[in-house]
Amino acid sequence: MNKALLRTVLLTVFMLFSSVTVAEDFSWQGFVAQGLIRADDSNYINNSGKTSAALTELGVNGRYSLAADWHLAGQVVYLDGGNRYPQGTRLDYLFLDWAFYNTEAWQANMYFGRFKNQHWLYSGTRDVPFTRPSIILPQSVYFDGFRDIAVGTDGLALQARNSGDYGDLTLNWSFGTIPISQQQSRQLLGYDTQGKTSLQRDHKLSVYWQPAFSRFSYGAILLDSAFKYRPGEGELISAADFTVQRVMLNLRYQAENWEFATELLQERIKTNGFFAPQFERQQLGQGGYMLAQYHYSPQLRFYTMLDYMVLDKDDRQGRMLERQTGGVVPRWFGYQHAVAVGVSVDISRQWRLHGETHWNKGTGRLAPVLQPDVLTNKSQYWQVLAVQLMYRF
Amino acid sequence: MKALLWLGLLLLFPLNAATVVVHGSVPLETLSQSQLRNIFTLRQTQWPDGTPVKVIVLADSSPLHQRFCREQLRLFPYQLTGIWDKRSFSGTGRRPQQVDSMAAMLELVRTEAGAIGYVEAHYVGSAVKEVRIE
Repeated sequence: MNKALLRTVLLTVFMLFSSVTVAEDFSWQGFVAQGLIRADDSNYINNSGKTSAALTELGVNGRYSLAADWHLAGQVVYLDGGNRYPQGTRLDYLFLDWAFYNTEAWQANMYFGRFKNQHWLYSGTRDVPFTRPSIILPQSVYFDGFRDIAVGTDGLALQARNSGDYGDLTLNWSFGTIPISQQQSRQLLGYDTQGKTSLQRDHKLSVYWQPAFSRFSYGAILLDSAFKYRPGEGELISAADFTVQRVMLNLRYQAENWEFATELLQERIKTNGFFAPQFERQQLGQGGYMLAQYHYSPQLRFYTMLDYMVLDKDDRQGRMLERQTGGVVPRWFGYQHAVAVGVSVDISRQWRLHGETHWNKGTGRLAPVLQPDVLTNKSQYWQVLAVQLMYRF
Repeated sequence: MKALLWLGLLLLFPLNAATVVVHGSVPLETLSQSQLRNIFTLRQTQWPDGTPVKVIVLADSSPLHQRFCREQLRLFPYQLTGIWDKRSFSGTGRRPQQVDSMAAMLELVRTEAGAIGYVEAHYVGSAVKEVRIE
């Protein structure tokens, strides 16, 4: 969180504490999860392909009611996912929640500070193992290399909810930015890059509709974000501007014993610079997943997932990518498709065990993106095996 | 024959529908099914007079909780748990307070301003207010 924003949040909290009667209303909870994971023939977890314990997630969160319509919420997490994202402790969110409008039909909240991305089906709690349908979320939408940028924003968000005869409508809007560390920048752009990446803006809008008492819900999401890259001293890479724009649609159906979810996206990535000062490229990628879950009992759940993603819809086989790079980048870096199956067992109310496997074709969602790791990812086909034990408190 | 016996038992001792109860100060006599669902899914967090809503629930495994979810909220218990997890772990809501028995439910609803819960009809006493669902 940038310093100015942090100061604003702290100052507002102080003013609220000093001007209102503080309700003694604090709640907190947390989770610990540890697993083993293996991703053969890829750099997804590590470069060796050996079984790793880099599947650790810890988190504690709290929510404090300052007044009937003012709340302060925060969460700190520690993550170790190997190469999936930078290892370490993060301030996951810390925001003021102002419930500024509350009637029977309409409710609206404004969030100030660092808040979670509430726009996609599983984005709000993607690091909370108990709330995820699978250990690894479908990479077409929940690309791990982009996790730290997509997971939250420092800024302002609004949620408005309406209920009527037509059903329930939820509107989410958010605007802001998020700091990008050097490690994240390297993970995204290339391991050898020396410069600094900054997110100039991140703008998201989503609408969800659930017809009255229906088992279906539908969502539409728009995203627009802009990044800048400033090269390091003596670096041969050029300064660059990137624009990422996404359009997404999703659908969910929840029956008594089974549920189905799908999210489809089209993503435009514009690159100006980086490879050369005058370099310009625009790619229109497409992707999506279908996830089916079967609840054999309240404690036992099976799931299967189909995931599909191409970086350029006009180059679905990656042949143009291979040709343009003189064969240096194999064609399978232009796409990534996967089939996954898994099982989840609730041992008790606090304990859950997940196990799953993913069969992948293509390496288009393996970081880094702009300078792909062609030395490690030599195989078009690769598999992930993962098992994770979770505890909530 | 066995099925007939069960049917007879059910007719003699029907399963009680869950009755919604609120703290005496809550300024409502009726709630629509849609409002009730909004409250238990944490969409509506304040009563019309501005008092925060305090949701009290029984455990997922409780038959009464399961009947309440299906019949009154028209949701499956796992859906409700998923909504609470999403709201509470993203910081945008507070998980309902869970109690172990109807007696504990009644006691909390009786003593906590803004509380709402549910009990079997024969359990409702004069200490709490019954709300009709229309």
